[in-house]
Amino acid sequence: MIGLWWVDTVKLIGRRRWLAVPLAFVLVGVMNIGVLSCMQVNVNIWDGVLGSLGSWLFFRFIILLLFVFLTADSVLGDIMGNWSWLTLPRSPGRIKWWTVKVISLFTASVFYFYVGTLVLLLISGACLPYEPTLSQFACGQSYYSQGLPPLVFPADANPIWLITQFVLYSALAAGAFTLIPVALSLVIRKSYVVAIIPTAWIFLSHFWQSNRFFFRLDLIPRLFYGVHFMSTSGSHESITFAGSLLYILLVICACYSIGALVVRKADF
Amino acid sequence: MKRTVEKVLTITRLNKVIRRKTILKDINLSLQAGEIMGLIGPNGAGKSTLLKIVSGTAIATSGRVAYNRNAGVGILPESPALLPAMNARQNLELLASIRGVIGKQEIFEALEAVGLDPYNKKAVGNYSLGMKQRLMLAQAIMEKPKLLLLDEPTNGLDPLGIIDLRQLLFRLADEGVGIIIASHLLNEIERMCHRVAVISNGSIWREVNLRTDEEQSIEISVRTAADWERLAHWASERQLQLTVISGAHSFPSGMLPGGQRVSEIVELLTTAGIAIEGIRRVPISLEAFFLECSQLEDGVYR
Repeated sequence: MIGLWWVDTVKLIGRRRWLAVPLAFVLVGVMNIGVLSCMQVNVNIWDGVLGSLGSWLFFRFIILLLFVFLTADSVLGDIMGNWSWLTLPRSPGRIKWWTVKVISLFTASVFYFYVGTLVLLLISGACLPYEPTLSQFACGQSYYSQGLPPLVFPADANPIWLITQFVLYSALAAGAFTLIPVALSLVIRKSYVVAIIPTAWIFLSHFWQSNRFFFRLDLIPRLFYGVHFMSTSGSHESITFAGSLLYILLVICACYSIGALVVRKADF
Repeated sequence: MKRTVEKVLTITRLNKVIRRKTILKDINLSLQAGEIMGLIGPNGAGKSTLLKIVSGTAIATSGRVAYNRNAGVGILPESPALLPAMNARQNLELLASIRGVIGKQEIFEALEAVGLDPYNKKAVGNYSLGMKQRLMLAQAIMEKPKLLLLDEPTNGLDPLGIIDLRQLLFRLADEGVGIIIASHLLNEIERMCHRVAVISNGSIWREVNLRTDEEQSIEISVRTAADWERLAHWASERQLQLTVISGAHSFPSGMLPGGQRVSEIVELLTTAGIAIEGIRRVPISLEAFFLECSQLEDGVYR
Protein backbone atom coordinates (compact mmCIF):
# COMPACT_ATOMS: atom_id res chain seq x y z
CA MET A 1 0.00 0.00 0.00
CA ILE A 2 2.91 2.33 0.66
CA GLY A 3 4.04 1.96 -2.93
CA LEU A 4 0.55 2.75 -4.18
CA TRP A 5 0.31 5.76 -1.86
CA TRP A 6 3.65 7.02 -3.16
CA VAL A 7 2.55 6.61 -6.79
CA ASP A 8 -0.77 8.36 -6.18
CA THR A 9 0.81 11.21 -4.28
CA VAL A 10 3.52 11.76 -6.87
CA LYS A 11 0.89 11.65 -9.62
CA LEU A 12 -1.25 14.15 -7.74
CA ILE A 13 1.41 16.72 -6.88
CA GLY A 14 3.77 16.05 -9.79
CA ARG A 15 1.59 17.78 -12.36
CA ARG A 16 2.49 21.04 -14.03
CA ARG A 17 -0.63 22.68 -12.65
CA TRP A 18 0.99 22.62 -9.18
CA LEU A 19 3.30 25.36 -10.41
CA ALA A 20 0.33 27.62 -9.67
CA VAL A 21 0.76 26.96 -5.92
CA PRO A 22 3.74 29.27 -5.23
CA LEU A 23 2.26 31.89 -7.56
CA ALA A 24 -1.09 31.85 -5.73
CA PHE A 25 0.54 32.08 -2.31
CA VAL A 26 2.80 34.92 -3.50
CA LEU A 27 -0.36 36.73 -4.60
CA VAL A 28 -2.10 36.09 -1.27
CA GLY A 29 1.01 37.06 0.72
CA VAL A 30 1.48 40.33 -1.14
CA MET A 31 -2.21 41.25 -0.90
CA ASN A 32 -2.22 40.49 2.84
CA ILE A 33 0.81 42.69 3.44
CA GLY A 34 -0.92 45.40 1.42
CA VAL A 35 -4.00 45.15 3.64
CA LEU A 36 -1.88 45.21 6.81
CA SER A 37 -0.01 48.28 5.57
CA CYS A 38 -3.26 50.12 4.94
CA MET A 39 -4.47 49.33 8.46
CA GLN A 40 -1.33 50.93 9.95
CA VAL A 41 -1.06 48.50 12.87
CA ASN A 42 1.98 46.96 14.52
CA VAL A 43 2.45 43.55 12.98
CA ASN A 44 5.33 41.08 12.61
CA ILE A 45 6.42 38.17 10.41
CA TRP A 46 3.76 35.81 11.83
CA ASP A 47 0.94 38.10 10.74
CA GLY A 48 2.05 37.49 7.16
CA VAL A 49 1.07 33.84 7.56
CA LEU A 50 -1.88 34.14 9.95
CA GLY A 51 -3.35 37.03 7.99
CA SER A 52 -3.09 35.14 4.67
CA LEU A 53 -4.45 31.81 5.90
CA GLY A 54 -6.84 33.46 8.33
CA SER A 55 -8.43 35.91 5.93
CA TRP A 56 -11.67 34.38 4.83
CA LEU A 57 -11.62 36.17 1.49
CA PHE A 58 -8.12 35.04 0.49
CA PHE A 59 -8.74 31.62 1.91
CA ARG A 60 -12.01 30.89 0.13
CA PHE A 61 -11.38 32.45 -3.24
CA ILE A 62 -7.72 31.72 -3.77
CA ILE A 63 -6.30 29.09 -1.42
CA LEU A 64 -9.26 26.72 -1.08
CA LEU A 65 -10.46 27.16 -4.65
CA LEU A 66 -7.01 26.47 -6.06
CA PHE A 67 -6.67 23.34 -3.97
CA VAL A 68 -10.03 22.12 -5.26
CA PHE A 69 -8.95 22.73 -8.86
CA LEU A 70 -5.64 20.96 -8.26
CA THR A 71 -6.96 17.81 -6.69
CA ALA A 72 -10.70 17.28 -7.10
CA ASP A 73 -10.28 15.38 -10.39
CA SER A 74 -7.77 12.94 -8.88
CA VAL A 75 -10.03 9.91 -9.35
CA LEU A 76 -11.91 11.09 -12.43
CA GLY A 77 -8.65 11.97 -14.20
CA ASP A 78 -7.29 8.50 -13.48
CA ILE A 79 -10.39 6.89 -14.94
CA MET A 80 -10.58 9.14 -18.01
CA GLY A 81 -6.84 8.95 -18.68
CA ASN A 82 -6.59 5.14 -18.38
CA TRP A 83 -4.18 5.51 -15.43
CA SER A 84 -6.51 3.32 -13.36
CA TRP A 85 -5.79 0.49 -15.86
CA LEU A 86 -2.18 0.61 -14.71
CA THR A 87 -2.66 1.04 -10.97
CA LEU A 88 -5.81 -0.90 -10.10
CA PRO A 89 -4.60 -4.33 -11.32
CA ARG A 90 -1.36 -3.76 -9.40
CA SER A 91 -3.25 -2.82 -6.23
CA PRO A 92 -3.92 -5.27 -3.40
CA GLY A 93 -7.68 -4.58 -3.68
CA ARG A 94 -10.29 -2.03 -4.66
CA ILE A 95 -10.99 -0.77 -1.13
CA LYS A 96 -7.28 -0.37 -0.50
CA TRP A 97 -6.98 1.45 -3.82
CA TRP A 98 -9.70 3.91 -2.72
CA THR A 99 -8.22 4.24 0.77
CA VAL A 100 -4.89 5.16 -0.75
CA LYS A 101 -6.63 7.73 -2.99
CA VAL A 102 -8.11 9.39 0.10
CA ILE A 103 -4.83 9.31 2.01
CA SER A 104 -3.01 10.76 -1.02
CA LEU A 105 -5.51 13.59 -1.14
CA PHE A 106 -4.75 14.51 2.46
CA THR A 107 -1.02 14.11 1.86
CA ALA A 108 -1.31 16.50 -1.07
CA SER A 109 -3.27 18.86 1.14
CA VAL A 110 -0.57 18.91 3.81
CA PHE A 111 2.09 19.40 1.13
CA TYR A 112 0.04 22.20 -0.43
CA PHE A 113 -0.37 24.12 2.81
CA TYR A 114 3.23 23.66 3.89
CA VAL A 115 4.58 24.84 0.56
CA GLY A 116 2.16 27.75 0.71
CA THR A 117 3.17 28.61 4.28
CA LEU A 118 6.82 28.54 3.31
CA VAL A 119 6.11 30.98 0.49
CA LEU A 120 4.13 33.21 2.86
CA LEU A 121 6.95 33.12 5.43
CA LEU A 122 9.47 34.12 2.77
CA ILE A 123 7.34 37.07 1.67
CA SER A 124 6.47 38.25 5.16
CA GLY A 125 10.09 37.69 6.24
CA ALA A 126 11.17 40.09 3.51
CA CYS A 127 8.54 42.74 4.35
CA LEU A 128 7.75 42.47 8.07
CA PRO A 129 9.97 42.52 11.19
CA TYR A 130 10.82 39.35 13.05
CA GLU A 131 9.58 38.91 16.62
CA PRO A 132 9.57 35.71 18.68
CA THR A 133 5.94 36.21 19.74
CA LEU A 134 2.64 36.98 18.06
CA SER A 135 1.82 40.64 17.52
CA GLN A 136 -0.67 42.49 19.65
CA PHE A 137 -2.81 42.85 16.56
CA ALA A 138 -3.05 39.06 16.17
CA CYS A 139 -3.89 38.62 19.85
CA GLY A 140 -6.36 41.48 19.94
CA GLN A 141 -9.01 42.62 17.53
CA SER A 142 -7.47 41.37 14.30
CA TYR A 143 -9.47 41.13 11.14
CA TYR A 144 -8.41 37.51 10.70
CA SER A 145 -11.46 35.32 10.36
CA GLN A 146 -11.79 31.79 9.12
CA GLY A 147 -15.45 31.74 9.94
CA LEU A 148 -17.73 34.65 10.63
CA PRO A 149 -16.31 35.99 13.91
CA PRO A 150 -12.72 37.29 13.97
CA LEU A 151 -10.07 34.96 15.27
CA VAL A 152 -8.23 35.89 18.44
CA PHE A 153 -4.97 34.10 19.12
CA PRO A 154 -3.64 33.40 22.64
CA ALA A 155 -0.89 35.88 23.51
CA ASP A 156 1.39 33.24 25.03
CA ALA A 157 1.18 30.88 22.05
CA ASN A 158 4.36 29.74 20.33
CA PRO A 159 3.99 31.17 16.79
CA ILE A 160 5.62 28.20 15.05
CA TRP A 161 3.52 25.66 16.94
CA LEU A 162 0.39 27.73 16.34
CA ILE A 163 1.06 28.02 12.61
CA THR A 164 1.79 24.30 12.45
CA GLN A 165 -1.60 23.59 14.02
CA PHE A 166 -3.25 26.15 11.77
CA VAL A 167 -1.72 24.61 8.67
CA LEU A 168 -2.52 21.01 9.67
CA TYR A 169 -6.09 21.91 10.53
CA SER A 170 -6.54 23.80 7.26
CA ALA A 171 -5.03 20.84 5.39
CA LEU A 172 -7.41 18.43 7.11
CA ALA A 173 -10.41 20.64 6.42
CA ALA A 174 -9.42 21.35 2.79
CA GLY A 175 -8.92 17.62 2.24
CA ALA A 176 -12.36 16.88 3.72
CA PHE A 177 -13.98 19.57 1.60
CA THR A 178 -12.33 18.29 -1.61
CA LEU A 179 -13.23 14.72 -0.75
CA ILE A 180 -16.87 15.62 -1.40
CA PRO A 181 -16.44 16.28 -5.17
CA VAL A 182 -13.94 13.42 -5.39
CA ALA A 183 -16.49 10.95 -3.98
CA LEU A 184 -19.23 12.51 -6.07
CA SER A 185 -17.14 12.11 -9.23
CA LEU A 186 -17.20 8.34 -8.71
CA VAL A 187 -20.96 8.44 -9.14
CA ILE A 188 -21.31 11.23 -11.70
CA ARG A 189 -18.34 10.91 -14.00
CA LYS A 190 -18.43 14.37 -15.50
CA SER A 191 -15.57 16.82 -15.26
CA TYR A 192 -17.94 19.66 -14.40
CA VAL A 193 -18.87 17.91 -11.17
CA VAL A 194 -15.39 18.23 -9.76
CA ALA A 195 -15.04 21.89 -10.66
CA ILE A 196 -18.45 23.53 -10.66
CA ILE A 197 -19.95 22.10 -7.48
CA PRO A 198 -17.18 23.16 -5.07
CA THR A 199 -16.77 26.51 -6.84
CA ALA A 200 -20.48 27.28 -6.63
CA TRP A 201 -20.45 26.17 -3.01
CA ILE A 202 -17.57 28.49 -2.11
CA PHE A 203 -19.27 31.46 -3.79
CA LEU A 204 -22.65 30.76 -2.18
CA SER A 205 -20.99 30.22 1.17
CA HIS A 206 -19.37 33.62 0.95
CA PHE A 207 -22.26 35.67 -0.30
CA TRP A 208 -24.89 34.05 1.90
CA GLN A 209 -22.78 33.90 5.04
CA SER A 210 -25.09 36.28 6.87
CA ASN A 211 -28.08 34.16 5.98
CA ARG A 212 -28.71 32.11 9.10
CA PHE A 213 -30.59 29.39 7.23
CA PHE A 214 -27.81 28.89 4.70
CA PHE A 215 -25.17 29.18 7.42
CA ARG A 216 -26.71 26.19 9.15
CA LEU A 217 -26.53 24.18 5.92
CA ASP A 218 -23.10 25.41 4.90
CA LEU A 219 -20.19 23.11 5.63
CA ILE A 220 -17.39 25.55 5.04
CA PRO A 221 -17.52 27.60 8.27
CA ARG A 222 -17.83 24.40 10.24
CA LEU A 223 -14.95 22.79 8.42
CA PHE A 224 -12.52 25.64 8.79
CA TYR A 225 -13.07 26.81 12.34
CA GLY A 226 -9.62 27.09 13.86
CA VAL A 227 -8.03 24.86 16.44
CA HIS A 228 -8.13 26.86 19.65
CA PHE A 229 -8.94 30.18 18.11
CA MET A 230 -11.41 31.65 20.49
CA SER A 231 -13.93 33.69 18.63
CA THR A 232 -15.46 36.92 19.70
CA SER A 233 -18.71 35.79 18.26
CA GLY A 234 -20.84 38.79 19.10
CA SER A 235 -24.11 38.41 17.30
CA HIS A 236 -22.75 35.71 14.98
CA GLU A 237 -23.11 31.99 15.25
CA SER A 238 -20.16 30.36 16.94
CA ILE A 239 -18.80 26.85 16.50
CA THR A 240 -16.49 25.16 18.95
CA PHE A 241 -13.30 23.36 18.02
CA ALA A 242 -14.77 20.02 19.08
CA GLY A 243 -17.85 20.65 16.95
CA SER A 244 -15.72 21.63 13.97
CA LEU A 245 -13.43 18.63 14.28
CA LEU A 246 -16.39 16.29 14.66
CA TYR A 247 -17.91 17.84 11.56
CA ILE A 248 -14.71 17.30 9.56
CA LEU A 249 -14.42 13.69 10.69
CA LEU A 250 -18.06 13.02 9.85
CA VAL A 251 -17.61 14.46 6.35
CA ILE A 252 -14.48 12.34 5.84
CA CYS A 253 -16.20 9.17 7.10
CA ALA A 254 -19.31 9.77 4.99
CA CYS A 255 -17.37 10.50 1.78
CA TYR A 256 -14.97 7.61 2.37
CA SER A 257 -17.86 5.19 2.96
CA ILE A 258 -19.76 6.36 -0.11
CA GLY A 259 -16.59 6.05 -2.19
CA ALA A 260 -15.85 2.58 -0.80
CA LEU A 261 -19.37 1.41 -1.60
CA VAL A 262 -19.16 2.72 -5.17
CA VAL A 263 -15.61 1.52 -5.81
CA ARG A 264 -16.47 -2.08 -4.86
CA LYS A 265 -18.73 -2.41 -7.89
CA ALA A 266 -17.53 0.37 -10.20
CA ASP A 267 -16.10 -0.04 -13.69
CA PHE A 268 -12.99 2.01 -14.39
CA MET B 1 11.59 -23.87 -25.34
CA LYS B 2 9.04 -26.59 -24.71
CA ARG B 3 5.51 -25.30 -24.25
CA THR B 4 3.46 -26.42 -21.31
CA VAL B 5 -0.32 -26.91 -21.43
CA GLU B 6 -0.89 -25.01 -18.20
CA LYS B 7 -3.91 -22.71 -18.42
CA VAL B 8 -3.13 -19.13 -17.54
CA LEU B 9 -6.70 -17.86 -17.87
CA THR B 10 -10.15 -19.42 -17.67
CA ILE B 11 -13.29 -17.38 -18.25
CA THR B 12 -16.52 -19.16 -17.44
CA ARG B 13 -20.06 -18.02 -18.30
CA LEU B 14 -19.17 -14.38 -18.07
CA ASN B 15 -21.92 -11.79 -18.47
CA LYS B 16 -21.84 -8.04 -18.32
CA VAL B 17 -24.95 -5.90 -18.29
CA ILE B 18 -24.82 -2.11 -18.06
CA ARG B 19 -28.11 -0.29 -17.57
CA ARG B 20 -30.10 -3.25 -18.86
CA LYS B 21 -27.97 -3.44 -21.99
CA THR B 22 -26.08 -6.69 -22.43
CA ILE B 23 -22.46 -5.93 -23.22
CA LEU B 24 -21.08 -9.46 -22.85
CA LYS B 25 -23.14 -12.62 -22.98
CA ASP B 26 -22.10 -16.04 -21.74
CA ILE B 27 -18.41 -15.75 -22.58
CA ASN B 28 -16.37 -18.91 -22.14
CA LEU B 29 -12.69 -18.73 -22.98
CA SER B 30 -9.46 -20.25 -21.85
CA LEU B 31 -5.87 -19.40 -22.62
CA GLN B 32 -2.89 -21.66 -22.32
CA ALA B 33 0.60 -20.67 -21.29
CA GLY B 34 2.52 -19.64 -24.39
CA GLU B 35 -0.60 -19.08 -26.45
CA ILE B 36 -1.37 -15.85 -28.28
CA MET B 37 -5.07 -15.29 -28.79
CA GLY B 38 -6.61 -12.57 -30.88
CA LEU B 39 -9.93 -10.89 -30.17
CA ILE B 40 -11.61 -9.39 -33.19
CA GLY B 41 -15.00 -7.91 -33.73
CA PRO B 42 -16.71 -4.70 -34.79
CA ASN B 43 -16.48 -1.53 -32.71
CA GLY B 44 -18.59 -1.86 -29.59
CA ALA B 45 -18.61 -5.65 -29.75
CA GLY B 46 -17.26 -5.91 -26.20
CA LYS B 47 -13.54 -6.60 -26.72
CA SER B 48 -12.23 -3.85 -24.45
CA THR B 49 -14.89 -4.56 -21.82
CA LEU B 50 -13.78 -8.19 -21.75
CA LEU B 51 -10.14 -7.13 -21.25
CA LYS B 52 -11.19 -4.70 -18.52
CA ILE B 53 -13.07 -7.42 -16.67
CA VAL B 54 -10.12 -9.81 -16.92
CA SER B 55 -7.75 -7.11 -15.67
CA GLY B 56 -10.05 -6.26 -12.77
CA THR B 57 -10.80 -2.69 -13.81
CA ALA B 58 -14.41 -3.62 -14.55
CA ILE B 59 -16.71 -6.00 -12.70
CA ALA B 60 -18.65 -8.80 -14.37
CA THR B 61 -22.38 -9.01 -13.72
CA SER B 62 -22.01 -12.79 -13.42
CA GLY B 63 -19.52 -15.48 -14.30
CA ARG B 64 -15.99 -16.25 -13.28
CA VAL B 65 -12.52 -15.13 -14.33
CA ALA B 66 -9.71 -17.29 -12.98
CA TYR B 67 -5.98 -16.67 -13.28
CA ASN B 68 -3.02 -16.63 -10.97
CA ARG B 69 -3.16 -13.14 -9.51
CA ASN B 70 0.17 -13.60 -7.76
CA ALA B 71 1.81 -14.08 -11.16
CA GLY B 72 0.41 -10.69 -12.13
CA VAL B 73 -1.24 -9.44 -15.25
CA GLY B 74 0.30 -7.03 -17.74
CA ILE B 75 -2.04 -4.57 -19.38
CA LEU B 76 -1.71 -2.31 -22.37
CA PRO B 77 -4.72 0.03 -22.61
CA GLU B 78 -5.88 1.39 -25.93
CA SER B 79 -4.40 4.84 -25.34
CA PRO B 80 -1.18 5.59 -23.46
CA ALA B 81 -1.50 6.63 -19.81
CA LEU B 82 1.80 8.02 -18.58
CA LEU B 83 3.12 10.89 -16.49
CA PRO B 84 4.31 13.37 -19.15
CA ALA B 85 6.75 15.27 -16.96
CA MET B 86 8.77 12.16 -16.10
CA ASN B 87 11.14 10.20 -18.29
CA ALA B 88 10.55 6.58 -19.32
CA ARG B 89 12.58 5.02 -16.50
CA GLN B 90 10.94 7.20 -13.84
CA ASN B 91 7.49 6.25 -15.11
CA LEU B 92 8.30 2.56 -14.89
CA GLU B 93 10.00 2.86 -11.50
CA LEU B 94 6.93 4.62 -10.16
CA LEU B 95 4.57 1.93 -11.41
CA ALA B 96 6.91 -0.85 -10.27
CA SER B 97 6.89 0.59 -6.74
CA ILE B 98 3.21 -0.39 -6.34
CA ARG B 99 3.90 -4.12 -6.21
CA GLY B 100 7.56 -3.84 -5.34
CA VAL B 101 8.47 -7.16 -6.95
CA ILE B 102 11.09 -5.93 -9.43
CA GLY B 103 14.12 -3.71 -9.31
CA LYS B 104 16.00 -1.41 -11.67
CA GLN B 105 17.52 -4.31 -13.57
CA GLU B 106 14.12 -5.61 -14.72
CA ILE B 107 13.04 -2.09 -15.67
CA PHE B 108 16.16 -1.65 -17.80
CA GLU B 109 15.53 -5.02 -19.44
CA ALA B 110 11.91 -4.13 -20.19
CA LEU B 111 12.91 -0.82 -21.78
CA GLU B 112 15.56 -2.50 -23.89
CA ALA B 113 13.13 -5.25 -24.89
CA VAL B 114 10.78 -2.70 -26.43
CA GLY B 115 13.59 -0.79 -28.14
CA LEU B 116 13.79 2.22 -25.80
CA ASP B 117 16.98 3.64 -24.34
CA PRO B 118 16.88 3.26 -20.53
CA TYR B 119 19.25 6.23 -20.19
CA ASN B 120 17.08 8.59 -22.23
CA LYS B 121 16.27 11.54 -19.97
CA LYS B 122 13.65 13.02 -22.28
CA ALA B 123 10.28 13.64 -20.66
CA VAL B 124 7.60 11.24 -21.88
CA GLY B 125 5.44 14.21 -22.83
CA ASN B 126 7.87 14.83 -25.69
CA TYR B 127 7.70 11.25 -26.98
CA SER B 128 6.08 10.33 -30.28
CA LEU B 129 2.94 8.17 -30.13
CA GLY B 130 4.97 5.15 -31.19
CA MET B 131 7.52 5.66 -28.40
CA LYS B 132 4.71 6.08 -25.86
CA GLN B 133 3.19 2.84 -27.09
CA ARG B 134 6.55 1.06 -26.70
CA LEU B 135 6.81 2.44 -23.16
CA MET B 136 3.30 1.26 -22.37
CA LEU B 137 4.31 -2.16 -23.58
CA ALA B 138 7.39 -2.01 -21.34
CA GLN B 139 5.24 -1.31 -18.27
CA ALA B 140 3.02 -4.24 -19.21
CA ILE B 141 5.89 -6.74 -19.44
CA MET B 142 8.33 -5.40 -16.84
CA GLU B 143 6.97 -7.45 -13.94
CA LYS B 144 7.15 -10.61 -16.06
CA PRO B 145 3.43 -11.46 -15.81
CA LYS B 146 2.09 -14.81 -16.93
CA LEU B 147 -0.88 -13.12 -18.58
CA LEU B 148 -0.67 -10.18 -20.95
CA LEU B 149 -3.70 -8.21 -22.16
CA LEU B 150 -3.07 -5.91 -25.10
CA ASP B 151 -5.75 -3.56 -26.42
CA GLU B 152 -4.81 -2.34 -29.91
CA PRO B 153 -1.06 -2.79 -29.32
CA THR B 154 -0.07 -1.60 -32.80
CA ASN B 155 -1.62 1.86 -32.26
CA GLY B 156 0.90 4.48 -33.32
CA LEU B 157 3.63 1.97 -34.19
CA ASP B 158 5.49 2.30 -37.48
CA PRO B 159 6.15 -0.87 -39.57
CA LEU B 160 9.44 -1.47 -37.76
CA GLY B 161 7.67 -1.08 -34.44
CA ILE B 162 5.05 -3.62 -35.49
CA ILE B 163 7.75 -6.11 -36.50
CA ASP B 164 9.53 -5.57 -33.16
CA LEU B 165 6.24 -6.05 -31.32
CA ARG B 166 5.55 -9.28 -33.18
CA GLN B 167 9.00 -10.66 -32.37
CA LEU B 168 8.70 -9.63 -28.73
CA LEU B 169 5.31 -11.31 -28.39
CA PHE B 170 6.61 -14.52 -29.98
CA ARG B 171 9.52 -14.50 -27.53
CA LEU B 172 7.22 -13.93 -24.56
CA ALA B 173 4.94 -16.72 -25.76
CA ASP B 174 7.96 -19.01 -25.99
CA GLU B 175 8.67 -18.13 -22.36
CA GLY B 176 5.19 -19.32 -21.41
CA VAL B 177 3.27 -16.05 -21.26
CA GLY B 178 -0.38 -16.22 -22.32
CA ILE B 179 -1.28 -13.21 -24.45
CA ILE B 180 -4.63 -11.78 -25.52
CA ILE B 181 -4.62 -9.15 -28.26
CA ALA B 182 -7.67 -7.07 -29.17
CA SER B 183 -7.12 -5.42 -32.52
CA HIS B 184 -8.71 -4.32 -35.74
CA LEU B 185 -5.60 -5.08 -37.79
CA LEU B 186 -6.62 -8.48 -39.09
CA ASN B 187 -3.37 -9.07 -40.97
CA GLU B 188 -1.39 -8.59 -37.78
CA ILE B 189 -3.74 -10.80 -35.80
CA GLU B 190 -3.29 -13.51 -38.46
CA ARG B 191 0.48 -13.23 -38.19
CA MET B 192 0.74 -12.99 -34.42
CA CYS B 193 -1.97 -15.21 -33.01
CA HIS B 194 -2.34 -18.93 -32.59
CA ARG B 195 -6.07 -18.64 -32.07
CA VAL B 196 -8.70 -16.03 -32.72
CA ALA B 197 -12.05 -15.41 -31.05
CA VAL B 198 -14.55 -13.40 -33.01
CA ILE B 199 -16.80 -11.33 -30.74
CA SER B 200 -20.08 -10.17 -32.11
CA ASN B 201 -22.90 -8.56 -30.17
CA GLY B 202 -21.19 -9.39 -26.89
CA SER B 203 -20.88 -13.11 -27.58
CA ILE B 204 -18.06 -15.27 -28.85
CA TRP B 205 -19.41 -15.92 -32.31
CA ARG B 206 -16.62 -18.21 -33.40
CA GLU B 207 -13.19 -19.40 -32.30
CA VAL B 208 -10.65 -20.22 -34.98
CA ASN B 209 -7.36 -22.01 -34.55
CA LEU B 210 -4.97 -20.42 -37.03
CA ARG B 211 -2.19 -22.93 -36.57
CA THR B 212 -3.92 -26.23 -37.29
CA ASP B 213 -4.60 -28.01 -40.57
CA GLU B 214 -8.23 -28.53 -39.56
CA GLU B 215 -9.21 -24.98 -40.35
CA GLN B 216 -7.08 -24.47 -43.47
CA SER B 217 -8.52 -25.55 -46.84
CA ILE B 218 -6.38 -26.96 -49.65
CA GLU B 219 -6.50 -25.42 -53.11
CA ILE B 220 -5.71 -27.77 -56.01
CA SER B 221 -5.41 -27.00 -59.72
CA VAL B 222 -5.06 -29.73 -62.36
CA ARG B 223 -3.83 -29.67 -65.96
CA THR B 224 -6.80 -30.86 -68.05
CA ALA B 225 -10.57 -31.30 -67.92
CA ALA B 226 -10.00 -35.05 -67.80
CA ASP B 227 -7.82 -34.61 -64.73
CA TRP B 228 -10.56 -32.51 -63.18
CA GLU B 229 -13.09 -35.30 -63.80
CA ARG B 230 -10.79 -37.82 -62.15
CA LEU B 231 -10.22 -35.44 -59.23
CA ALA B 232 -13.96 -34.95 -58.72
CA HIS B 233 -14.49 -38.69 -58.79
CA TRP B 234 -11.59 -39.24 -56.38
CA ALA B 235 -13.04 -36.66 -53.98
CA SER B 236 -16.58 -38.06 -54.06
CA GLU B 237 -15.24 -41.57 -53.36
CA ARG B 238 -13.63 -40.21 -50.18
CA GLN B 239 -16.67 -38.06 -49.35
CA LEU B 240 -14.60 -34.87 -49.56
CA GLN B 241 -16.40 -31.78 -50.72
CA LEU B 242 -14.66 -30.31 -53.76
CA THR B 243 -15.65 -26.71 -54.37
CA VAL B 244 -15.03 -25.36 -57.86
CA ILE B 245 -13.25 -22.02 -57.81
CA SER B 246 -12.08 -21.51 -61.42
CA GLY B 247 -11.48 -23.25 -64.72
CA ALA B 248 -13.02 -21.27 -67.59
CA HIS B 249 -9.82 -19.53 -68.69
CA SER B 250 -7.22 -21.20 -66.51
CA PHE B 251 -6.35 -24.58 -65.12
CA PRO B 252 -9.36 -26.21 -63.51
CA SER B 253 -9.08 -25.73 -59.78
CA GLY B 254 -11.02 -26.38 -56.64
CA MET B 255 -10.90 -26.31 -52.87
CA LEU B 256 -10.73 -29.31 -50.59
CA PRO B 257 -11.59 -29.03 -46.88
CA GLY B 258 -8.80 -28.89 -44.27
CA GLY B 259 -7.79 -31.69 -41.96
CA GLN B 260 -5.49 -33.54 -44.37
CA ARG B 261 -1.80 -33.35 -45.05
CA VAL B 262 -0.82 -31.82 -48.39
CA SER B 263 1.93 -34.41 -48.89
CA GLU B 264 -0.57 -37.27 -48.44
CA ILE B 265 -2.98 -35.75 -50.96
CA VAL B 266 -0.19 -35.28 -53.50
CA GLU B 267 0.80 -38.92 -53.10
CA LEU B 268 -2.79 -40.19 -53.41
CA LEU B 269 -3.57 -38.05 -56.48
CA THR B 270 -0.35 -39.05 -58.20
CA THR B 271 -1.16 -42.70 -57.55
CA ALA B 272 -4.64 -42.09 -59.06
CA GLY B 273 -2.95 -40.71 -62.19
CA ILE B 274 -4.12 -37.12 -61.77
CA ALA B 275 -1.71 -34.49 -63.09
CA ILE B 276 -1.48 -31.79 -60.43
CA GLU B 277 -0.62 -28.34 -61.69
CA GLY B 278 -0.52 -26.71 -58.28
CA ILE B 279 -1.47 -27.34 -54.66
CA ARG B 280 -1.32 -25.07 -51.60
CA ARG B 281 -2.81 -24.69 -48.18
CA VAL B 282 -5.01 -21.61 -48.02
CA PRO B 283 -4.61 -19.59 -44.82
CA ILE B 284 -7.78 -18.71 -42.97
CA SER B 285 -9.10 -15.34 -43.98
CA LEU B 286 -9.97 -13.38 -40.86
CA GLU B 287 -11.37 -10.72 -43.11
CA ALA B 288 -14.00 -13.19 -44.31
CA PHE B 289 -14.87 -14.07 -40.69
CA PHE B 290 -15.02 -10.43 -39.77
CA LEU B 291 -17.30 -9.57 -42.67
CA GLU B 292 -19.52 -12.51 -41.85
CA CYS B 293 -19.86 -11.44 -38.23
CA SER B 294 -20.46 -7.83 -39.27
CA GLN B 295 -23.25 -9.03 -41.52
CA LEU B 296 -24.76 -10.76 -38.54
CA GLU B 297 -25.11 -7.35 -36.97
CA ASP B 298 -26.73 -5.96 -40.12
CA GLY B 299 -23.82 -3.58 -40.56
CA VAL B 300 -25.09 -1.47 -37.68
CA TYR B 301 -23.04 -0.68 -34.59
CA ARG B 302 -24.98 -1.54 -31.48
